[in-house]
Order: sequence, then structure tokens, then C-alpha cells
Amino acid sequence: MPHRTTDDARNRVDARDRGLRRVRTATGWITVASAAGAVVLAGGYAQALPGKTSANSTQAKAPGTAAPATPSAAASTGAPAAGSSAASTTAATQTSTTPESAPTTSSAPALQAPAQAPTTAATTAQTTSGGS
Amino acid sequence: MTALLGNPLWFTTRATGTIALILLTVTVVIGVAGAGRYAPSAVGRFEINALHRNLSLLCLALLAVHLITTLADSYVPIGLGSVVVPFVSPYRTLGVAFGTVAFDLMLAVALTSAARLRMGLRRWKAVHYLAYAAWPAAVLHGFNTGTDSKLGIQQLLYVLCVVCVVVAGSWRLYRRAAAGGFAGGDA
Repeated sequence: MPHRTTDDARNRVDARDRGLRRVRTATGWITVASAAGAVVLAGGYAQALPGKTSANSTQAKAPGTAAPATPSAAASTGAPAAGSSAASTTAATQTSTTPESAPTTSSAPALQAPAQAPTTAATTAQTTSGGS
Repeated sequence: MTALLGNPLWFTTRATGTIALILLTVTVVIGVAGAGRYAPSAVGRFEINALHRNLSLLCLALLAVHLITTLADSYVPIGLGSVVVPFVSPYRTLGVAFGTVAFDLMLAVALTSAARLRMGLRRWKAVHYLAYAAWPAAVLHGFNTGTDSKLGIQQLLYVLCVVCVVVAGSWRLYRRAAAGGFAGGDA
């Protein structure tokens, strides 16, 4: 019966189109949710683990204490640090305090040297830190 | 929020890494529990396979952002070589190596999936099983390297990911046992 065969084929095509549409919609929503989730997570991490303030850093460590110069030392404190000896030496000679985070752009009462290779941003004053 | 604006690359790295792990977990769960001949009858098999493929591509895209922001951020001394060669990163060598291995395996799975028709189903499936190794490597990378792992909610997330994959694997084994066969399904 050719008429019935045509209807079956059309139904299958329609079902396939519906399925593809569902997949497209689901993928779109998941993409949006992923992007939004990444933004929310980034904000959450910044709030939950902002790093140490300059006040905390100076109180927690005695003056003259060197920054975590090795990755293992940074790992133990949860803070990323420069792995090269040149960078750590530079950081150690620049300051006596120990920031454990990335440089920020906010103003601060005291200057801190980052525990990483000096960049242009490293010369800015900082209070809070982004690293953990 | 000041910290986020002060170093957006670092926080983007962490956020995209977590989202990529979640997406990888969902991809693995769909692949383990729903793909191939274990697809539920209510949904078309091609729909599950298409969603599995789309999610894995989205995961790779987020992984690309994760890698780019890691390399661009000079805060950690992770070079380009550490992206593809394990155990060369001076920063948290073991943890970063887990991530490198996971990325290499995922890349192999993705590339072979793109050339599946050329290389044949059997060879493709053999490579595709590497995804089973990529996922635990990614979890270990997040747990060891992720500086947020000390957060309780982050640890809960890791546990949830593991539970989801274990449940999906159990479901697949149950279905296989119920079907009475032991012929391999899709990864």
C-alpha cells in the first residue's frame, strides 16, 4: 500500500525532526547554563577564596619571611607561586611581606610584592588577592 | 568581587575547569548509561548520541578556555609544554600531570570520533574506551590542583560526580546482565 508507506515515512521524518529540535534546544540551554555557571562560579570563588589581605599577610608572617618560592611551598599554602628561582628571588628581594595571590587593582595602604614573576601589574598597590 | 576583577584570568581558569569537569561527567554518564544499545526506548537513540557528542564538544570548548586562561595568566608557571606533556609543569607537577593526561586522552577520543567512519568502528571503539581513563584523571586533576578543593561545596561536587558515574556504570552493568550478553556496548 504505497499511501500508507508514504505516511509512515513522513511520520519517521517528523519524529526525527522533533528529536533533532529537542537536542538543539537541550544543547542551547546547557551552553547557556555552562556560561552562566562559569560566571557565577568565578564570582563565588573570588568571594570564598579571595586570598589574604595585606593586613592578614603582615600579621600572619614575621617581617623578612620569604614568599613561597617553590610550587610545593605554594601548594602547601594553597597559593600559586612562581616556580622559577629568578622570579622568586626577585619577589623576595622586593618585599618582606608575603602575598599569596595575584595582584589586584584595588588601592591599599601598603605595597606588596607578588609571589610571581614581576609584571607591569605587579607594581600596583594591592590589598586582596585572587589566588588561593 | 574585587579579587575577581583584580585577576579575572585566574578565577576564569578555576570556574571553567569546574564546569568542564561537570560537563565531562554528564558526557560520561550519558555515554555509559544511555548511549548505544542501552538507550531508553522513550528517547531516540540518535538523540542521546547527538547530545553526547554536543556535550563533549562543549566540554572541549570550555577546556580550551581553561587552558588559554591558564597559559595567559602569568601567576602560575605553566608553559605550553605542560598542556600536552605530563610531568613537566613546575607547579603542582602531579596534579597538573593528571590534567594533561586527561586532556590528551580527550583529544584522542575527539579526533578519532571525528574520523570514525574512516578508521572503522572497532578501532574507534578501542580508542573511545580511553574516555574511561580521562574522567578519573580529570577528577584527580581537579582535586589535586584545584585550589578550591578545600571548600566543602567543591568537595561535595567531586563526590557527586563520582557517584553519578558509579551509578551510571552500575546501571549499565545491570542492563547488560539483564540482557544476558557480555558483548561490549558503546563507550
